[in-house]
Amino acid sequence: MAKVSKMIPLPIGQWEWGFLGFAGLVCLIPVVWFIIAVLLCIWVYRDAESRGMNGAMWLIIVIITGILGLIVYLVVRKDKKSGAPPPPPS
Amino acid sequence: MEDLITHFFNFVGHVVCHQIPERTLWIGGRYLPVCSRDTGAYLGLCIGYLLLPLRKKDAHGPPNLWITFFMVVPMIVDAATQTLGVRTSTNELRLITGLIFGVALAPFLVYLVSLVPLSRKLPIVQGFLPKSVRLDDKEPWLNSQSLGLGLLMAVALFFAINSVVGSTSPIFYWLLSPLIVCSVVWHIFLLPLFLALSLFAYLRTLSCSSSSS
Repeated sequence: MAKVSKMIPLPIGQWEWGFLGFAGLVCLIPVVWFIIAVLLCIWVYRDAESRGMNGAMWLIIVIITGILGLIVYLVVRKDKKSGAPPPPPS
Repeated sequence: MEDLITHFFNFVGHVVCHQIPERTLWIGGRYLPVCSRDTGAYLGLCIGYLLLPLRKKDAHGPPNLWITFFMVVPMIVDAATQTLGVRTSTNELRLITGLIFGVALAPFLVYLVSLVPLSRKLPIVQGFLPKSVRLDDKEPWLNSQSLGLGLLMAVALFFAINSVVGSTSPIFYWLLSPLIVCSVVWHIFLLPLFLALSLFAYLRTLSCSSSSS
């Protein structure tokens, strides 16, 4: 009889819903970190290309090394190229 | 009640950490919620925030990147070499490298968080953020002396924690664990949302500027 009573599903109360919500949030963490990593890689690639650097190489470095690669990239990146040449002196 | 709180701490710690007993510090008759490396990193982040009053309010460049780099590297090398099976680390080494990593990372994270448009509206947080973010600016928002002070504080905390490892007095457990759990909740649950928003906003401005030109 005791075994049968254990099999009856209990109604989900307030605490259980709270726990499920927390568990859902926990499952979201890797997704959020993945989105951040992807956006970061896109930014590094575009920024490197806009500075005349090898965007693909820096993309791979940041994918492999994460925040360490980002710091290294910020240290070594070149100055941005100016869009138009300065006007000639009149 | 104490058991319930300890269970909650361990549950939060279990989300982010392996909690292997050999690699976790035993303080006040209990294991801390996370391993020694994570303990160092999460407490180091808290120390890093204490450096923010030393920031230059008119500077816009990122915190000294070379020093940040050299403070972040030891923990990554320690963790990577252990994961690759080259060597086995010790709890002392895990703790100190974690502390230094956290101290260096905190100002850098705050600097990144200041890219989030929402952060400018938060009542307390906005006071600690740089007025504007210019990654190319040579004048650092947090200089090398401040990071050096953070390093000293990390070393001091390392010796303090190391001296109470194995003690049976629960006060040390209750001093460290709530701080670690708060740090975990902030950095693992809330900060990712802020950073995701920041990068979305930045990419959006980039795409807008490229389409207009």
